[in-house]
Amino acid sequence: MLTSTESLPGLTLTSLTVEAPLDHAHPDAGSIDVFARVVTGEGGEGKP
Amino acid sequence: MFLQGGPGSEAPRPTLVPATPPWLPRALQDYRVVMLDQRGTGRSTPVSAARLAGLDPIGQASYLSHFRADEIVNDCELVREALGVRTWTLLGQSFGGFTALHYLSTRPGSLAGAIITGGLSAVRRPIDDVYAATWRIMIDKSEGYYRRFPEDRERVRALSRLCAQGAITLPNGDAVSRERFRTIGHRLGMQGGIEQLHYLLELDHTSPAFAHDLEAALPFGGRNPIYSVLHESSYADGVATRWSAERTMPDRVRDDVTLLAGEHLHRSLFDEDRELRPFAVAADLLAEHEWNQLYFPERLAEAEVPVAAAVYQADAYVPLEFSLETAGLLPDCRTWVTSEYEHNGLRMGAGVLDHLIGLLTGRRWL
Repeated sequence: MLTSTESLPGLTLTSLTVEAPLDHAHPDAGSIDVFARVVTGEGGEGKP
Repeated sequence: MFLQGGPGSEAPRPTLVPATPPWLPRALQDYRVVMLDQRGTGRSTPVSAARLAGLDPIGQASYLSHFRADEIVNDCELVREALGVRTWTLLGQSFGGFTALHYLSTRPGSLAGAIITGGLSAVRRPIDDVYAATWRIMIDKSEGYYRRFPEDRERVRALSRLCAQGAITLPNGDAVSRERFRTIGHRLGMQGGIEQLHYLLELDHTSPAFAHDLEAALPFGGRNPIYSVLHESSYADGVATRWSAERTMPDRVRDDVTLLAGEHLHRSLFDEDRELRPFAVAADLLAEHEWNQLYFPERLAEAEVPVAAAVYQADAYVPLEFSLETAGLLPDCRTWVTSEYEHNGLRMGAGVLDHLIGLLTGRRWL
């Protein structure tokens, strides 16, 4: 898992990339990257 | 966890200046928001003609068959585990709502709640019933459009004639067929779309502005190939699609070029769009593919997860009748039916999300 953090006005962005099997039923059949970004507002660190 | 509409679109790129997506500031009052680039889109490994070029058509179809809601949910679970989160709340718009239904069917234990906007898809309904319903809705929306702008009917007829002559082209030089032109009706399913369509059609059809704005108004194109290749599979709940939208087109629509289409794919699209052409054979194979079942009524009935759902009275893509049926399958679905918005109500501001967070948290009574 790769992560990085960026700041924008009023926002903190934490990016992550996970490796996922192309076919979850057959994990040997190759993999792809899946990217997601966690967006946190000011003072939102403790929020669900 | 925000599940984007589509399929085949990446998550919005967040910013507060201006608020993008417009509901983001409201969401951040209560939550941190996870934006997922659904597999094949955005910064996830992209689906592209270049990447598939090394595979034969069967290999391409097989590769592309792994980009439906079930695998997206598997990816979500990997992301959830990577973040060290035990449960989270879903926000699913349109296709993202379909994905949320699969999530509720298969992994309810990972969910604290689900907010679904224009995304309660038909469960255990034949795909042809869904497309037949959306054709009927598009006839109504087309007639509503011409009531508002009566002169546009002749304009559409004239432009359609030009399409038949090969005289309407996109900026990349692709000629637009009559059937493809008809899909400008996609705009009519969105808030403000009626006006956008009118302002497009009033342009001189030989101008670069018309070519570019027409390209932007067409739902299916090269930017998001998954959308064209897998759109019909979103409704394939244990069946093959076999070009359902094309097969269910009513004779009345076939005979009247002024009746517009929405998310209605026509097979020849893959021949006329140069960027989709490399996917044509795989798309044909996938149209015959017997897809696995995505939604399970008995498991949905056991999903003890609070759900708050906006169902739009005149939704052009996710028909009201099937949405209410699906809401009835869920044990705790707090359904808000409204005619105030079209399918893209979530993007209109904070209002829809505020209403649904209220329903989900119990701050607002049904």
